Amino acid sequence: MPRERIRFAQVRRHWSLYALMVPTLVLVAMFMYLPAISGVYHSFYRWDGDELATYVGMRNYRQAFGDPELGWAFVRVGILFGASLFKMVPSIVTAVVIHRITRDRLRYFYRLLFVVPMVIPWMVGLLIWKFFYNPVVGLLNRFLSTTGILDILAAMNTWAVKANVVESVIFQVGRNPAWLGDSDLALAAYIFWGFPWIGVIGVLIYLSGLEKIPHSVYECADLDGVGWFGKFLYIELPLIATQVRINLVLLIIGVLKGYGLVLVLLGETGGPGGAVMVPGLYMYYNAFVKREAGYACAIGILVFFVILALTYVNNKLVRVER
Amino acid sequence: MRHLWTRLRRYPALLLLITVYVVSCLVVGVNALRARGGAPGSEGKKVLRFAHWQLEPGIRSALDRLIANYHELHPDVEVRQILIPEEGYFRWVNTQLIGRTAPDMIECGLGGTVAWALWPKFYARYFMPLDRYVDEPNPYNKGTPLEEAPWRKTYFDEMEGGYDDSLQSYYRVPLSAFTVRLYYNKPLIEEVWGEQFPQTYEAFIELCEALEEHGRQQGRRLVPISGSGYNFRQFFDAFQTALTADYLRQLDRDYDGSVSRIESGAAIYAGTVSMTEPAIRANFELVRELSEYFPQGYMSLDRDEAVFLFLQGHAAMISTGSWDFQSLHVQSEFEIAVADIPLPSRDNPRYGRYVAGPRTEAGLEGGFPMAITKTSAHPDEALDFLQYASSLKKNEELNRNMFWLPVIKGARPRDELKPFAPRIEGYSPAINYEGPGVELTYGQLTPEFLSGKLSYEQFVERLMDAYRRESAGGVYEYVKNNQQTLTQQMRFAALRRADMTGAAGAGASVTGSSETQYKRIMEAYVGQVGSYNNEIRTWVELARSSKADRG
Repeated sequence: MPRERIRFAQVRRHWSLYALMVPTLVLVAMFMYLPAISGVYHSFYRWDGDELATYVGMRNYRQAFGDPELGWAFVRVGILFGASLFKMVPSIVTAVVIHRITRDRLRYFYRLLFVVPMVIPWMVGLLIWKFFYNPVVGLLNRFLSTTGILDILAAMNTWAVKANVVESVIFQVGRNPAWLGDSDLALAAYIFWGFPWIGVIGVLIYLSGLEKIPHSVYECADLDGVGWFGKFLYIELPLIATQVRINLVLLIIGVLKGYGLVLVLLGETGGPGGAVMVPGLYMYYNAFVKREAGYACAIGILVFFVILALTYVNNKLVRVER
Repeated sequence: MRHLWTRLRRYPALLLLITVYVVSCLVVGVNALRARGGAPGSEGKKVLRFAHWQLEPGIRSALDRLIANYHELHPDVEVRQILIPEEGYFRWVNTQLIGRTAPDMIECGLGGTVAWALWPKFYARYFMPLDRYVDEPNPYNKGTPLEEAPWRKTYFDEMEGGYDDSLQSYYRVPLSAFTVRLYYNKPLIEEVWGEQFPQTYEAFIELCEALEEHGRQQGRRLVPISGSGYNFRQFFDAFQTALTADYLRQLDRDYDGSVSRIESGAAIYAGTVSMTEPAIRANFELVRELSEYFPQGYMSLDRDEAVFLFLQGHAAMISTGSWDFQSLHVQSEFEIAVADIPLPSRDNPRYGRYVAGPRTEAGLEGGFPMAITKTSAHPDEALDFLQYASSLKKNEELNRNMFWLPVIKGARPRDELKPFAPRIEGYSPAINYEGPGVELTYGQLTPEFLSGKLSYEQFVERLMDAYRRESAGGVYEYVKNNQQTLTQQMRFAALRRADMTGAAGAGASVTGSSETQYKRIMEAYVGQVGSYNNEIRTWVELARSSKADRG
């Protein structure tokens, strides 16, 4: 469909509609674009985050490229990104299962069940998970001890150390593992956080895509004898590619710039040995703990370009069938 | 007009938007005007609002009792508490001050690293200096031995807790004091160990062993000491001072009686003090030994989790401050007693020869500090209320009700709080392992060492790598930031001078005193710049000598 050009006369005629957009545009510009522009500007300065700044040219960027801590942070975020791709699967599967429920009322009920947990504050969920991981009274350790899995893990660990497969002793008989307090476990515990990883927003986005698939497509598939998995692979997955792409973009942005969860769970050092130090947290640490806000801005700009590159790759790789 | 109305009627959405905007402006404007004139009280009373973050059980009710007594004396004044959770307190204060809607009195001094740097600026911009009042007697001390004494002299610390060094002024009125001790589950310890709590580290370790054995016999996990990164720090500080106090003479290069991070970091960087020296190594090994009796991975637990373990009976002891005294007693189902953190005895074969003694609390300053905002509609009444709260009788009464330590000379704390009485004898901290630029590495490596993942040699090697990599830049940033902060403070000092001169009008005496104060600020500034220059010189000298040694 050719794009229709908006003429100035039309703008004059509907000026009130455009005027209604002005408050939003002003607020977005003030609170989203202005800080971003300020970030670019200050990345060239030695700035403590307050008033005084000295121009240092590309020094902050040179420092970032030679900073091993930042390098490792990007490696860790790469691992987290890989894990997050895997963690998308349960949401897609759940959306498909709900979509395939034939009774409308039951489908509506399940959809409702997914929306209800959204009213629980994020912080409450986080504290429950933190308690879940508590080394002394946490449910995870109790479950592992009661079922004997901890003993099995300890035996496997001992064998692996003897066979020189791993170096460190992580699981020991009679000692509760410290999921968030052990540098060998912290990253794994962080990835496991939120199991079974059914993201409410993700499920709803996939469902919106699935509901646009006409019934006739399924009827044709039935006539052709396509099984349940075939329908998923050849009909549903290709037709929700737009939604997958949207979720992937959100995921890329979320994983790369996110650090709030690490900060609350593991503190500003990123846990023991900096096991979960990610670029976002490193940026926070430099801005608000070390008061090297100029360097933090430079890290932010680098993270922005990485997000941009990954989003571009995502848009090229995930083809949308219309 | 009619034409405009006819046109506007065609655009109901725009009309709605304009109406909402106008109503919002009116509401905000009216509220701002009200705030400027003070919040309206019942029956036309003057309302004083004071904000704090002390949400622990018992604090609010104790303050309510103080307020009720004050109302009896001043029926025309109504004092209201505003309780803000600790997590969002600084942000709340920040917005209230900038928005000029701040309450009359605000508890100061919370908010993390950034906030610590910002508070002096806040004092200069938004709070009322109290210098002209602190040398006058507190009227509420009439009829007491402190009747003639200037207000600041009635404080046990001569009101040091209310003084801002950088601005050379009194801004805060402290109401309580705090020290740190070891709390323990008394019935459990008596059952496992006996009535006398261990006085030495050796006996303390035996107690920890006995507690673990007791847990095993009962078929449950009993952790001897409840810990988190926050609580453990108190143990670390106690042991660090005890074992490394002798370094004070060696590291205090500018002879100001304390060791700054620059002095300490420079000495470690240059090798003047080696991390492998026996006393320092003993310090770290001692804390690692004790870590065995904390929960696994305790460094990643937070303060609330540690308190929870203790209160639920999963842990027998916890180290925290006197600020938690009442809340622990109210929430626990068992009797709680308090003791000092035991130190190794001189006979200890591993640590004994390095032990100097306990950490001194002689430099303790008053806490729970309240300051009066410049936007207060009733600053005289606010000052009067704070003088009332810091009078001998009322401060004693308030702190007895809060189970905190009073700050006024002669005010008696509750008997239960006697173990928290500040320890005058003792030693000052003499070394800081977190030199400029290596804080992050140190924070990441310490849990690894304490959990046994790193040997001491590996820990030192990686820490020294960070020193070599980060310290030069770290020192530069540290010194530069401090110098810039000083410059800003000077600007505020100049503004304050203009402010005071202007406010004085014809009051020549006040103008004179403002000049004297300005000179004091200038002297302090020069002193601080000199101190930083000394620190830089120290760093450069040591770095050069280190380079020369390495060839």
